[in-house]
Amino acid sequence: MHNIDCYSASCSGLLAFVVVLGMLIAGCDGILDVDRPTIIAEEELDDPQNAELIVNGLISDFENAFDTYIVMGGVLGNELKDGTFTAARWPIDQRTIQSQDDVHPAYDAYNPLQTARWSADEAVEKLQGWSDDEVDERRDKLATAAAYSGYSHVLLGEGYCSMAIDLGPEIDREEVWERALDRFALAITEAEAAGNADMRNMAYLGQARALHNLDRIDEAATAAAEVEEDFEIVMTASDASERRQNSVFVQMDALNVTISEIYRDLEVEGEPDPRVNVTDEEAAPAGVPIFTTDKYDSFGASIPIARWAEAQLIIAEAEGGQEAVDIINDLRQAHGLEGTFESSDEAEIQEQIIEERQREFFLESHALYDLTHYDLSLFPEPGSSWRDGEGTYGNQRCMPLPDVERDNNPNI
Amino acid sequence: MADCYQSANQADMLCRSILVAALLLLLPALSYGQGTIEGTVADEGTGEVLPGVTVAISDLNMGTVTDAEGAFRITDVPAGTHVVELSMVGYAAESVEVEVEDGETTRIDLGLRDEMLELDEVVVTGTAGGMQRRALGNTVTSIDASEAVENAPIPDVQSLMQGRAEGAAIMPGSGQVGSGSQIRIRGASSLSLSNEPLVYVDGVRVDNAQATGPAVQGFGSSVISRLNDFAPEDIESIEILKGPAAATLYGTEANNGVINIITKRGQEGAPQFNFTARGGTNFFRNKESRMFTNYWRNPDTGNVESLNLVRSERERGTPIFEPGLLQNYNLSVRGGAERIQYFVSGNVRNEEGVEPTNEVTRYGGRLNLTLDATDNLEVTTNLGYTTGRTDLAREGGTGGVTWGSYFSTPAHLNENLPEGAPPRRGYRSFTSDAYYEYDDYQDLTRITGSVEVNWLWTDYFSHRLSLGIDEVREDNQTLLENSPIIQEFDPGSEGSKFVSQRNTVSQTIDYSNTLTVDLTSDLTSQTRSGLQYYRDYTESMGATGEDFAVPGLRAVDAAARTEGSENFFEERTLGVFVQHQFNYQDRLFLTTGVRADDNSAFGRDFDFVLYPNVNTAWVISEEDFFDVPQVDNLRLRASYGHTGQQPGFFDAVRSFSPVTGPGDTPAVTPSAVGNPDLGPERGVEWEGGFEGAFLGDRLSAEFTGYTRTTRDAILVRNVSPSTGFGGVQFVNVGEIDNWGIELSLGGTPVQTDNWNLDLSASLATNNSEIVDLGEDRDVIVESSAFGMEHREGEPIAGWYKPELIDVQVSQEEPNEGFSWPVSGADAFLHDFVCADGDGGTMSCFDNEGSFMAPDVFIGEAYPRFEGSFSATLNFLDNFRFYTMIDYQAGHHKWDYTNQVRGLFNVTREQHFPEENPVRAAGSEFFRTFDVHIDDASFARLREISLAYDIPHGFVDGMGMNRASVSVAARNLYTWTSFDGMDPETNFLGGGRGGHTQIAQNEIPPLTQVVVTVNLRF
Repeated sequence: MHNIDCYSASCSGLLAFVVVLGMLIAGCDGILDVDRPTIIAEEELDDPQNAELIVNGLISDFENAFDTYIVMGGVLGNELKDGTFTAARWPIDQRTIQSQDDVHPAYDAYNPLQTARWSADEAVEKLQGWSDDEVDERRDKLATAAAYSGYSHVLLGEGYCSMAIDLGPEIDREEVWERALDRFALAITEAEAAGNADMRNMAYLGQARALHNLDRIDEAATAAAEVEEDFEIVMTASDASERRQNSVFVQMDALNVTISEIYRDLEVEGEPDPRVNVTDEEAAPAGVPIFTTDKYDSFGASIPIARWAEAQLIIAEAEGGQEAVDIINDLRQAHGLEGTFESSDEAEIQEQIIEERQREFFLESHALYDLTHYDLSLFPEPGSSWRDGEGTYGNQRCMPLPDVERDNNPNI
Repeated sequence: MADCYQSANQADMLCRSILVAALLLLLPALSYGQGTIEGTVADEGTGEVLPGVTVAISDLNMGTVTDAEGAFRITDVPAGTHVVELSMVGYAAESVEVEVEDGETTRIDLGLRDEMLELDEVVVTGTAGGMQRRALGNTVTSIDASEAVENAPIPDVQSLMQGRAEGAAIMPGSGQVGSGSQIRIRGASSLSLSNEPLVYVDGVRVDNAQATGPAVQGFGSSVISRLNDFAPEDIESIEILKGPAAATLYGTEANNGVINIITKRGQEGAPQFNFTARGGTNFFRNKESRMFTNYWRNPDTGNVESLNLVRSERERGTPIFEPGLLQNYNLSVRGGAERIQYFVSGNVRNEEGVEPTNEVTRYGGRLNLTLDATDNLEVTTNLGYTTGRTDLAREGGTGGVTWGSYFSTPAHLNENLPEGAPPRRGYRSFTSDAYYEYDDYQDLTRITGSVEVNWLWTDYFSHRLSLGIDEVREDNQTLLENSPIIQEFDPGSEGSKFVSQRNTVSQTIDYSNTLTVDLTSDLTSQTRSGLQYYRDYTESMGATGEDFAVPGLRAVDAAARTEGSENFFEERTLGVFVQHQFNYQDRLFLTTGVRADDNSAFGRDFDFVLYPNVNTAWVISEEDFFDVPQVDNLRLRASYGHTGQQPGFFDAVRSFSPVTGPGDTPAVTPSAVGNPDLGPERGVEWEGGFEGAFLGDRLSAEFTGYTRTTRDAILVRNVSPSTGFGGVQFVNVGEIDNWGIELSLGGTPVQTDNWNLDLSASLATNNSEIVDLGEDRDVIVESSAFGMEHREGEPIAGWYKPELIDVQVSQEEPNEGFSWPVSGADAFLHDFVCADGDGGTMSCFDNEGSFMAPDVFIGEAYPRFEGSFSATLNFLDNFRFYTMIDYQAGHHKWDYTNQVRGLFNVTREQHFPEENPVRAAGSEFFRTFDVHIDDASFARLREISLAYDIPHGFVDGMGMNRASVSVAARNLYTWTSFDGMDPETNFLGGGRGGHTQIAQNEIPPLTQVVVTVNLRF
C-alpha cells in the first residue's frame, strides 16, 4: 500500500469532480440537447411568414370544436339521445351534468371551443401587429380570424350557462355575445377592405345570430339582410385524420347516438321531410334502438356553419306576416317540398318559424339554444324515466361552467 | 493486506485467490509426515452444496476454495491436529478440529449456517464495486432470488419481490397472466409524476415502464410491466435502495427508489447444469360462489328473479373462466477456468389464464461472461434476450366476459328478451364467444447488454467503466375482424385494428473510480467519483384501420379507413458525483458525497441541480467495550440524502402541435402551455436504524425509521381552458412528507439434526401528508368523478365523499321530506342521515331533494401497512416446506364493480332494500355517497410449497448432483372484508390512472398450482 497523505487523496477525487463538473457547465451543454420533431415551439409562430399556417390553425380549431358542439348540443337538447354503455356519457343525456363531472370527450365542447376562440383571438392580435408588407393578404386573414373568433364566442354563449374568457371573471351569455359582436364588426371592416365576400357574409350572419340571441331582433334582421343569397360557409370535414372527421357521422356510425323520437317520421303536408331524413332502427347494441340520419353520410361530410336560410328565417321572425310566410315557403321549395304554408295568424307564423328552424337546421348547432330562446319543451320531459328506470331526466338546457375552469381561473 | 479486504468485492475475491495460490506454492516446502483433508461443504439448513467457500488452516497458512460441487481437498497437510476454518459471505464462520495422520486422507463433510447479519456482503450503491453492507449508513434490502425461485412458484420479477422486500408494495391491476403491477417503495411521494422506481440490470439503466400493452381505451387493468421481462431463474439477487438517503448517487429520477437486478455469473469449475421444468394450472378459485348473483324484477310476473352466470353457463355446457395450463422450462450452465467464467441459460414460459384469450409465451436467453484478463483487469459482459407474446382478455373499461358476467341480468336471459333480440344468455352485453373474437396482444423483443471493465490501476486506485444498452421493441395490437358473431349484437361493427409500436433505447455510460488511502493504521480514506450519462430514446408509431369489408381481412391496409401516427421522445441526463468515506478500524464509517445533474427535461431557465448525502455506520458490537449478553452483532446507522425526480420529456416547453387544417392543409393547434422554470422534484430523506444478531445468532432484527420530504413537488395544475391551451401545466410548488418504519425479524427457533425451522416476519408502515400545495390552493382534485383529492394536511390520494350514516325504508312514499323510489322494489328511501364533517350527523338532503352534506375524508388509496410472514421448515433430511403470507392494510379502494351493479339495478339490496338500506341508497345514488369506498386491507396466503430432495445415493447413480421435486401453490386463500371481487385488482392498472384505485370488472388474482422438477448435473 502506498501511503499518500489525506490532502493529496482528497485533491485527486476533487480534481476529477471539478474537471467533469467543468465539462458539464462550460462545454458540454450540447449533449443534453434533444430532438423534438413532433412539436412546434411558440417562438416559431411569431414569424409573419407563418401567418397562413396560423389562420389554417384557427379554422382547424373551430372546425374541430364545431361538430363536437353539435353532438353535445344534440344530446343535451332534443335532437339526439345517447345509445352507449359508457356511463361517463350518460349525465349529459340525462340532463343532469354537474360542474365537477368529467365530460366524456365526445361531448366536451368547452375545451375545443375555448381553444378555437383563443387561436382566433391570438391570430387577430398577431395580424394586427404585422404589416401588409410582412403578410400577404393580411386584411383578408384578419377578417377570417375575427369572423371565426366571433362564431366561437357565439357558440360558447349558446351552449354554456356561463363562461370565462382569457382567465377573466365568470361572465354570462349576454356578455360573451357582446364580445362576439366586436369580433364580427372587425371582420366586416376587414373583409370589406379586402374584398372577401365570404367573410363579409359570415360576419354579418354571425352578427345577426348574436343579436338574435340578445333579443335584438330588428338589428339582427338588418344584419341578416346584408347576407347574400345562397351564401354558405361550411365546416370542411375529411377522412385525412380523426380530428377532421365529421363527429356527428362518427357518433352515428359507431351507433353511439340515436336520433330522438321527436325528429323521426317528420312530414310536411303528408310527405317525408327531407330536411330530417331518419333511417329505420339499425340496431340496439346497448338496448337503445339506434336511428340515424343520412344528412351526414360520411366521415368527410361537411356541415354548414352559416348559410343564407338562417338569415332568411331571422328576417322572417323580425318581419312576420306574409313576408315570413313567403320565406318559409321559399325555403321549403328549395328542398323540393311544396311551399303551401299559409297563415295570417302571427302567433302561428312565429310558431312555424321555430318549427322550420328545428327542421332546417337539424344537427347544425342551433337546436340547443333555441330551446332556451323560444322556451321550448324538453323531450323527454324532466322527471321522466331514463332507460326504463335506470335514471331520471333532468331539466338542464345549458352546460354548467366546468370545474376545470372554476378551479384554475384565479379570477373566478 | 487489510487494505485488500477493504476494497471492492471483486478485488476482495482476487486477493483471496492470490492468497490461496501463494499458499499452494508453499506447500511442497512443508511436506513431511503429511496427510490430506477432503470433504464437502453444504448449507446446513437446505443441504445444498456450497461452492466458493474458503477452507483454511490458518496456523499452517494453507487453504483452498470449494468447487462447484462444494468439494475441497487440501493435500500435504502435516500430520497432527489442526483447526480447519470455513468462511463465506452470508454464512457464519465455522471451525472444526481435524486429526491428520501421515499418508492418510481425512474426510470431513461440514455444514455452514446462514449468517443472521451479513455485514461483509457487498451491495450495489452506485459506486465502483459497490460497498460492504457494514459501511452503509442506510438500509439496502436484498432478495436472494436463487433461493426464492427454488422455494416457490414465481412467474415473474414482481412476484419475486412480493412480500420479500419490506417497504416495497406490489399493487397488481388484474389477475390475467402476463399482467403487471404498480410498485410503491415507501409509498407514493409524487402527486403528478411517476412513482415507479428506477430499474438497473447489471449496472445498466433499463426501461421500467409499468403500464405497456394494448390499451384499447387508453386505459385498462391488464397492463404489461417491463420489469417482468427478466426471467427470475437468471437472477442472482435483487437489491432495493428505498429512497433519497440511499439513492443519492443515482441522482435525478431516483426519488422513488432504485431496484438493482444482478444476474447470475459464471464461476470457476466444471460445467454445472441446472434444469428446471414446471407444469401446473391457473384457476379462478371458487368462481361460482364468488360470482355475483344479480337480480331483476320481471315486469310480467312481478317476481324478483336471480342469475349466477357462472352457474348458468356451466349448466348450459358453455362454462366460463376455465382453468389454464402453464409450463416453464429453464436450462442453465455455469462454470469456467481461472481466467474466464460463464453463465449461459435459456428458458421457455407458457401460461394460460382463465380466458382463452389470455396467454403469455416467452422465450429467453442469457450469456454472462467474466474475463480476468490480468490480475488487475476484469472484464464482464452481460447479455440478455427475451421475446414472446402476451395475449390479454378484455376487462376493466373494455367490456369482456367479466363485464358481461359481473353485470349480467335475468332480463337478458333469452326467454326474457324482446322478440328478435340477439340471444344474450343473461350477459349484460355480448356473450362470451363474441368477446373471444377480440384479439389484443403485445409482441415483445428485448435485448439488454453491458460491458463492464474493472481496472485495479494500483492497489489503491481502481476504476470502473460500464457501457450498456437496453433495447425494447413492443408491437401492441388490438384486432377485431369483421365478425358475424359480433354483428349479431352490434350490426354496425365491421371490425377494426389498432397497432401501436413502441421502441425504446436506453443507453448508459457510467465511469467511476475509487481511491483508497491508509491515513493511519486505523483510519482509511476512500474517495469515489464518477460520471454517468443516460440517454433514453422512445419512438412510437401507431396505425388505425377501421371497417373491414369481409371477414378474414386483418391488416390495417385492408380497412376502409386508415390513419397513422408517429412520435419521438428523447431524454438525456448528465451527472457527476464525488463521495468520500472515512473508515475507522473497519467498524466506524462516515461518508459524505454530492451529485450534480442536468437533464434535458429541465426548463430553459433551470440549471443543474446538486444532491448532497451524508451517512454514518457503526458496528458497535465489534468495539472492545461492547459486552451485552445475547447480542452477537449490532450495527447502528444513520443517513441523510437528496435525490430528484425529473419532469416529463416536454413538460417545460410551451408548444403547438401540427394538425390537419381545412382542405387538409398544414395547420397548428395549441398543445402544451409549458413552464420555463420547471425543475425536478427534490426528495430529502433522513433514515436511521440498526440491525443485529441475537441469541447465539438465532435471531436477527433490522429496524429502520425514515422521514422524507419531497420539496419543489411538481404538481399538475389543470390549465383553465379559457387560456386556449387547456390540458395541464407542471409547476414546482408543493411539499409532501412521508414517514414510516420498517422492521424485519428472522429466527431459527428449531434446529435439530432432522428439523430446521426458519421464520421471518416484516412490517413496513408509510404515512404521508401533503404539507403545501402552493399559495393559490389547498386542494388538487385527482378525480372529481371518483372523489379523489389531494388536500393540504391530509394524506396523498384521499377519498372524499359524503358519508351516508343511515337511511330509512318504507313501502309507502312518506308525506314529508325528500324521498326516493328504489329501482327494484316497491319501496322508498327517506330520512337520509349523513356525516356533517365535524363528528356529528345531518340530513343529507333538504326537503326539495337538494344535496347538503359535505365531502368527508373516507380513507386513503395507498396501504399504510404492508409486510409478510414466512416459514421454511427443512425436515427429515430431504423435505422442505415453505409458506408465505403477505398483507397490506390501511387503505381504501372504490368497489366500482358493485357500484356499477347498482347502476344497472341488479344488486340484491335494490330489490330487498330493507335488508341493507344504506347499500340500497348507495346503489341508487351511485355517484353521490361513500358506500362503495371499501377498506381494501387483506392478507393473502401467497405462496406455499413442499419440496423433496431425492436422496444423494439415488441421484449420484444417475450422474446428477441433485434432484428435487416440489408441489407449490400461489394465491391459495385471502382474508379481507373488501366487498368487491378482490382487494388487489385495479381498474387503472399499472399507473395508467395515476393515484386512483378503483376495482371494476377485473379478473382476480388467479390461484396457481405447480409441480416442479429440478435437476443439477
